[in-house]
Amino acid sequence: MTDLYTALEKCLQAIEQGESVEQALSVYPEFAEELYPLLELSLQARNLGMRPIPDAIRRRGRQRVLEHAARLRQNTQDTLLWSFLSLWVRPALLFGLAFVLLFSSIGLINGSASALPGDYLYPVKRTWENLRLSLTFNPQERQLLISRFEQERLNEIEELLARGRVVPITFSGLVESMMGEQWLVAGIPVRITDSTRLPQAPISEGMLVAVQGITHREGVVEAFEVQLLSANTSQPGEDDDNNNRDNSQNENNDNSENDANENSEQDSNGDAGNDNNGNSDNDGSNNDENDNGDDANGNGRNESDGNGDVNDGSNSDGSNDSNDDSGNGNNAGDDNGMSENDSHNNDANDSNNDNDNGNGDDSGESGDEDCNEEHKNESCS
Amino acid sequence: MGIWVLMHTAENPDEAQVLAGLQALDTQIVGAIYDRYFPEVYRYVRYRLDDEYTAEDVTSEVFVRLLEAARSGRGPKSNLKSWLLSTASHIITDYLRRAYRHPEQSIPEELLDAAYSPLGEIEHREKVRAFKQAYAQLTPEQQHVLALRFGVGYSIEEVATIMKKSTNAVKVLQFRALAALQRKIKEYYD
Repeated sequence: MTDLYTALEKCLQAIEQGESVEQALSVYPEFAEELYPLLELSLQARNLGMRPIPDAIRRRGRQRVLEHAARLRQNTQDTLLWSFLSLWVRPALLFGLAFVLLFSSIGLINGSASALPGDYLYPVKRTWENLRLSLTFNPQERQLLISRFEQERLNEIEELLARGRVVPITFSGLVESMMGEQWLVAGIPVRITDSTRLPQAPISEGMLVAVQGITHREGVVEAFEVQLLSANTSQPGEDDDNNNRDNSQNENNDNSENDANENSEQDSNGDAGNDNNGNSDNDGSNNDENDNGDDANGNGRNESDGNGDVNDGSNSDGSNDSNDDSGNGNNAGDDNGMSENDSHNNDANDSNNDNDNGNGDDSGESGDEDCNEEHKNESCS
Repeated sequence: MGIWVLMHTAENPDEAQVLAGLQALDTQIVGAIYDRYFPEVYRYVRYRLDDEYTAEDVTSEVFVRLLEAARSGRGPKSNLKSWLLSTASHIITDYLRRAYRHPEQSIPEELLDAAYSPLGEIEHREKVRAFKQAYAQLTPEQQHVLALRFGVGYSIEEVATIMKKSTNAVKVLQFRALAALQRKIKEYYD
């Protein structure tokens, strides 16, 4: 004779298969009275567990964990001395450099010039760049500096790849080729994997994208996420729920300052702005937990804020809609692709804003719009 | 890609290979492990703590501890799932001990599962509130078994493997946990 505990388990399994409580208990009439309330309770217990998981949470955690792994790998290479020094020497250097720069008209001796992301002196290098930029007032010179720094980002990545170092990075550039999983973006080989988050709109050659990922030993960048960049550098908005997490907006568009494209090494939050993009629909590996709905409510980094508009003509993303409405902070996006996601709308937008998206479809125009932007990496005809 | 297939097609894939890659902190393997186990760990933690923000932090902490342990050779030699969920359980137990919980504390409205109750059904919300209060009063082990069995939805065999007990022992545990839960709920209404 079956004991009470086995009977309970058998009933639970029957209910999991779709039977009702009564049906399940009919096999064990002797235990019915005792088990009935427990089985009813089990239904409630199970229901409470069934809520979907917001995708943004998964993504943030993933980035955090991967960066931690990268940092741990780096740490094993550092000696104890460096770890100690980094507490004191680096901040001292940073301060010292700022001081020197302020009081010298040339001040260009820069020992950190060859530092790479992940290096001890890398933050010094970036601070140096930012200082130079902030002290350059002539707009043309600024443009030049910005372009140089952007190019330097690319050089750094190439150097990292050549040396086989593994470091989280972010960069942007034009898609030069796409052969299956191997892309070339701004001359850098990028590998797209099953877990790479791609925007809802299909990417094609010639588009400007931001890539967030990690350099690999084999000499490619493994992409965690690829975002389409619109000509209007739309800023992922501040969001209520994300405030404490994604404060450092990794705006992958270098509008003015270069530091926007952060190498996540420097990001103490560990959040390399994952949520800039994220039309979660696309990503095959996420299907179960997919929550555009949830994002609209809570995370607000609604996806395709303006990015979606870049899509050639057919901004048919429902997600664009949910975006704007909840007014989750991303107002920049609101101008761009309100609801009628079609080329008609894009045209209307274009007439409003010079810097507007409409990249994909308005062929001639988009070329110009790209050129309006600071992203002058590529040739503007 | 091969790793992905490896982790998703077998319950016990070639764990040795995976764990070796884990110790090397290989990005692809770490990513694959995260993708494979995040949903379950998160569901488990969220069920126990009933708070999405804390659940997110605790879940990340579980994987961070995995990395740290693996790097220093203290990581799991087998049965990664069990290691992850046990670690989650320990972190949660510590957290709950530190955060003073008054049994009569009312649970803030936002935490109630409003999405799943028809709007305005006060009775349903009351039931949910009763359940959550009662659940919070169970012993850690009782909470653990219910979170595994119903929160995540593991089978009895899986729960047994995770808890390192026999299936018979787990059957008894789940019975007692449900019975205790039921008693507490009755007390709530009395």
